[in-house]
Amino acid sequence: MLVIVELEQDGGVVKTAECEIEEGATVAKVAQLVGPKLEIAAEEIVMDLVVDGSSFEAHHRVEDCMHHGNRWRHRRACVAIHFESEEARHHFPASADWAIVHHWACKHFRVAKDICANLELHEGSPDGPAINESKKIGHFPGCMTVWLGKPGPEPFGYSA
Amino acid sequence: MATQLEQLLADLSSPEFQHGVEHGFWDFVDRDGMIVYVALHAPDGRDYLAQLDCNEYDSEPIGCKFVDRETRTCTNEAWPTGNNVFVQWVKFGDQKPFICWNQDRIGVEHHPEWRPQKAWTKRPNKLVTYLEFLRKLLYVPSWGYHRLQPAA
Repeated sequence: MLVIVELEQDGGVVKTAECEIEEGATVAKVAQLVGPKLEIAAEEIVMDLVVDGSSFEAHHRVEDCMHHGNRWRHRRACVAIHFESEEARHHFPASADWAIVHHWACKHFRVAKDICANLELHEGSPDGPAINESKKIGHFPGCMTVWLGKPGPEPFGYSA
Repeated sequence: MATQLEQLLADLSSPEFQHGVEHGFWDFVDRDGMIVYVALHAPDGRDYLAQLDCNEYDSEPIGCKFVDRETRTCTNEAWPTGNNVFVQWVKFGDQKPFICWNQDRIGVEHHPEWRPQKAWTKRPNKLVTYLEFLRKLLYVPSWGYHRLQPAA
């Protein structure tokens, strides 16, 4: 069976990869085969694979997905992440949780683990609204700006 | 000049309040006059129902209690718990639980020395400022909320 995976980012398809897959194989196997061609880790590809509104999971059998067609799409969203005085842009699977952005940013900006755990993502500016990291990144035009930062000064509590 | 109720209703329908709803941090449940009920969604999947007393909105701080979802009575079980850092702000013990914060009505009653600061007047949207504080209590690990551990 031939499966074609299109990489969609920045508003269009930017790369395509195809693979021949044997009967009984799972979606995870497709991701492993096309991953190197798309230059994306297989585990990220399986976070977002869709056809006509149907999404596939890593454990799904390929033949069960084929009635939607053999042209699948992996969608990635652009996020511009600011941390202190630094900035980095990266594309993430659109169906992944925001937590993946937090983890990527900590790794990229070399933030220590204990500090990383207490940082939060904020939309638009350091004081912008907090992002719930268990929510999906989703689709949006252009590149979304987020800030990784401390959650504001600790309020005044009385510890007696 | 907007009345207290008008201001409260405006804050309840503000983009900041709606953002919290859209991001799954909280949900509006009910309003009874100047008492607002908001469900807070903790990162461990638990929900806490905050009863926010907004009487004298603007001039006085909001008074928050966590209440039982069914009976709407304040019971210890309705409150989130945490470590020694967390109990800076959420007090249990012999007394009724209360939030010990300079923008909470009951906290200010316990600490009259906080009143002259009028900390609750510093930001325009008092309701969302309060809910953001509660959100951080539940979400920022270093603030010490006891998260329910997922089953192994």
